Amino acid sequence: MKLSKIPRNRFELWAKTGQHLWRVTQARQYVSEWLSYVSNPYIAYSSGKDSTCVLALVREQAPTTPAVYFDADCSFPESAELIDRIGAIRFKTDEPFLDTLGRFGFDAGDDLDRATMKSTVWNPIKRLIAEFGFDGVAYGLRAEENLGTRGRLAKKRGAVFQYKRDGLWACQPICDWRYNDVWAFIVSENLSYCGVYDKMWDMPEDDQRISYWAGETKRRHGRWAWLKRNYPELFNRFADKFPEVRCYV
Amino acid sequence: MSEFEPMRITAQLGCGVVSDATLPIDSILYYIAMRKAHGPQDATEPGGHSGTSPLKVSMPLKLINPGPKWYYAASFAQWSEPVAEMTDYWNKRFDQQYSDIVDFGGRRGKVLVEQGKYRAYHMPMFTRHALTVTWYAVGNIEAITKLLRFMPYIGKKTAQGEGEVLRWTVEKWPHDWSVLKDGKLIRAIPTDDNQNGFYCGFRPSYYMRSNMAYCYIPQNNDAS
Repeated sequence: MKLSKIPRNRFELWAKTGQHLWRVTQARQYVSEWLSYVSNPYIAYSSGKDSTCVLALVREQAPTTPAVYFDADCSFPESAELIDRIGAIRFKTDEPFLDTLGRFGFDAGDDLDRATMKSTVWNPIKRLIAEFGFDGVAYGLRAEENLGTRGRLAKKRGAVFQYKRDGLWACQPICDWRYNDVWAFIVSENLSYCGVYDKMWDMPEDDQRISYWAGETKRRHGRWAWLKRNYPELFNRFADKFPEVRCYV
Repeated sequence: MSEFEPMRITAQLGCGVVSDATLPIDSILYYIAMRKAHGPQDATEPGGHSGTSPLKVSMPLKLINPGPKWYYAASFAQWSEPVAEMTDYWNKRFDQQYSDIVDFGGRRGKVLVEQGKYRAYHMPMFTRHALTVTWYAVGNIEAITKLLRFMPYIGKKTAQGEGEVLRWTVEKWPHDWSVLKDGKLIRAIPTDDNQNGFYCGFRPSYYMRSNMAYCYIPQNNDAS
């Protein structure tokens, strides 16, 4: 199997533009401001390109800030390797992602989305904060990735804000970054990025995202066909448990 | 003298093949043999076959490794260089111009393209292009030649014209390269080594759970 290559030249050129440099400076200021409000923060780390940038931006100023990965037993091998390399805390979700899928099935729509968010995000965050006493979180949300809901929310709240529900200070330092900015930062700072992206360069930019490998969104747009091609063993195990996935490859 | 002989099978391709690199020849032969023995495939549903006993068919290929993990003496595909890989797409979407003929059973309804019968698809087809593709096997040359006459296309999406085979050539071969060629594996072989094995199919139907196990697989070959 051939691997596509990162278009390094393109990102190196973008890294020299004034627009990019200004966004990086802004992001550093956001992080600095956020760090002045918090005493025990963490970085929500997914091993994706956005959280890789946030990790670097925060650790430039606070090198000991812990990174936390919410582990639902469904990460790509390359992600697992990167998570271990950066020393992130693997915080177990309420249940493995495949169990949630098994409970609801692939056609549960919004019910499945809600259940997944509950078991892999909302509940684990509550447990994490209770266990570690964190008072701040930095994460790699970008308005560009979802201009509808998240984009509006990101613009309304700003890059640094406080959650009403638990008083947690949040920082989304790259909320106004574009795709090019993210990769330009990774290339110019020589950051380690997840190897899964090296199998995605020939995909549309919007589709170059890393999540749980068994995620069902975009299954009708070739998500599992891509999984079968690039991770046949993972796919075989997946199809063992859920034979219907073979209808989507 | 045994009726089974080492052979080389070559397909001269007319266009790209929608397939991964493995494309085992025993699965192609198995498909034709099944169709010949049991007639055309009408329709199947996901998992629909699992409650029934599987259909059986005899194949003109040598069996290796007698026991539950038997497999055929037939290699994975050896693609002639250069090989070009590309991604094409098939699409399905609701056509707005026919919205007036949708039957909602006399009630008001809404066409949902996210789910249900009108859901839209945009699915990639990973295609490999090469001039020829070759396999090695041990079996009955005459019987295999006869079977391959019924296989003008290989891979997926053959109804759309993908995977056209211009000519099949089956020739006697001096070496048995059905499993090993120059000391290197050219097909998946089942193993009990769960640590280093690769979980995949090792005999047709390759997608069936009962035909999967931990296997040693060829290097640089994405088994499925």
